[in-house]
Amino acid sequence: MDKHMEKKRKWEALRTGLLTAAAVMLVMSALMGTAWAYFSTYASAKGGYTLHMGHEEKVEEDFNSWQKVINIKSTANPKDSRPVYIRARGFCPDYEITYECEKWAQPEGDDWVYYQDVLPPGETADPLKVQIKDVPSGENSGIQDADSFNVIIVYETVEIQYDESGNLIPPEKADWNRKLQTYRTGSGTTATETSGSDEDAAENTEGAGGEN
Amino acid sequence: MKNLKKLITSPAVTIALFILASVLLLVSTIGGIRAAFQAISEIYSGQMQMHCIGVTLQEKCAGDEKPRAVAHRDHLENTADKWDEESLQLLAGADLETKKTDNSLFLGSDTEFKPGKAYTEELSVANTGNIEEYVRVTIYKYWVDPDGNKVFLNETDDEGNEIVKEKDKKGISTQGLSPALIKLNLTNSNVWLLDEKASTEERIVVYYNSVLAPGEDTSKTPLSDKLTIDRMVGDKVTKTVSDDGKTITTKYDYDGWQFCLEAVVDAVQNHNAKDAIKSVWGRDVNVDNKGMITLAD
Repeated sequence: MDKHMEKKRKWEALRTGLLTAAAVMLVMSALMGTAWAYFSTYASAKGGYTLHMGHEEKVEEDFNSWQKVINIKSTANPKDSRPVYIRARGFCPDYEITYECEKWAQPEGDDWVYYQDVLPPGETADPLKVQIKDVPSGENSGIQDADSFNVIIVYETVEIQYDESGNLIPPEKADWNRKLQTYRTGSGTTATETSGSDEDAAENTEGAGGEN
Repeated sequence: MKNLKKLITSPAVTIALFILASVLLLVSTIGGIRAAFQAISEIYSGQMQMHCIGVTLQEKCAGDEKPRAVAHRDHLENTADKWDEESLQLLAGADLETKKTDNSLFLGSDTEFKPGKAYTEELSVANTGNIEEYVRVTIYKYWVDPDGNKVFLNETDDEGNEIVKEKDKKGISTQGLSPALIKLNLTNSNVWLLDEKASTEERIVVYYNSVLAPGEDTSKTPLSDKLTIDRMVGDKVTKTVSDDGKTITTKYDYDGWQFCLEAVVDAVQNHNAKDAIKSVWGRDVNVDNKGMITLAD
């Protein structure tokens, strides 16, 4: 009797396995029929370009006869650097300042003066002259100590920009709003600023006044 | 009833069912192969009605007088499953006919790609098979970092917070560099139907609404006309100022990143179009009596 039961159990197990295999094959046959029924094909291609951005400038200032002369040079390796636009503005709390240079222009209603040419890598921009006006001179002028007199010039550079047609956008119309992460380095001192606004983003170099 | 139950559970019936299933599987296989054999036999009879499907991706840039073939995959006649296929680079002035590339066809006089400038990029499709077909094009846009990693946008939760994944921990993260900055302007939306359900910031799917006959192409109604990289790519900047304040080094966060555009064209037979498109592409469409398709909701 036990032998008969054992044989029956084995048969039931075999039957279950065979029926499962049959079901799987039926499903597969249905799927294969669908997949092979239609002609189809495809083709693809891809491509792209690497963007090269970055630049480095060196700023030097000379002060003489109440005039500050600013030279800005693109110092980076031309292979790694891109042409830039430059703009600058001066801050002098007590006296009027004027900008003198043919290649720099100040649009009406704008506090910035813009270099009208592109500054290519390795080249120097025409110097910007900032004249401090109507500074009294003499013993009663109130300016006894040259070191106490400061004029701050703020500079900004931005990579040249193009319109949709590929033409250069004039520097005064370029987008100068960028999110800057600024680091001051050297002599172990560091400071970090982050800003998205023009003035906060500007790098500045202070210049000290001198005697007339 | 008892006899019926006994009959069903008998070994003979079980084995018979198994054999039946095996035969069904074999028959379905033979059916598929037979279709290919029939087509080949027509060539032997000299009727030249072999059904060969083929498709070619074409590109036309500012320097091109006519569209260039950049990729194709055509079924070879007299073969069951052999294909003539080749793919060249997109945006590089590559031509399958001459096997040459000429970047100036795309860049014009520019020595490098200029963000902000709109470059001509007309993509079209040609039917290079001998049967009528429907086509669709899928465009993928993505960035590759300087280490060659393909980058992905971070997902955000319901509150807009970025979900950091394992891959981000390895430094693969766009952090604001979106595929949306790669702007391919779509045109001829009356014939190229945008599948809004399937399209995302990284992917565009468009369907040509008519049957494309053998030898015909869509170059008169290309699916795109201009490619622009948004100037915003240069918005993230790190400046380093020397201690004396005289030297300012500006490094753009995405300097050395590469944008990529990938176009995949799919073609399917026009016979039994609704079912064929559903089966091969998984998309429900409506087909009118003139063979024009519209995307079903």
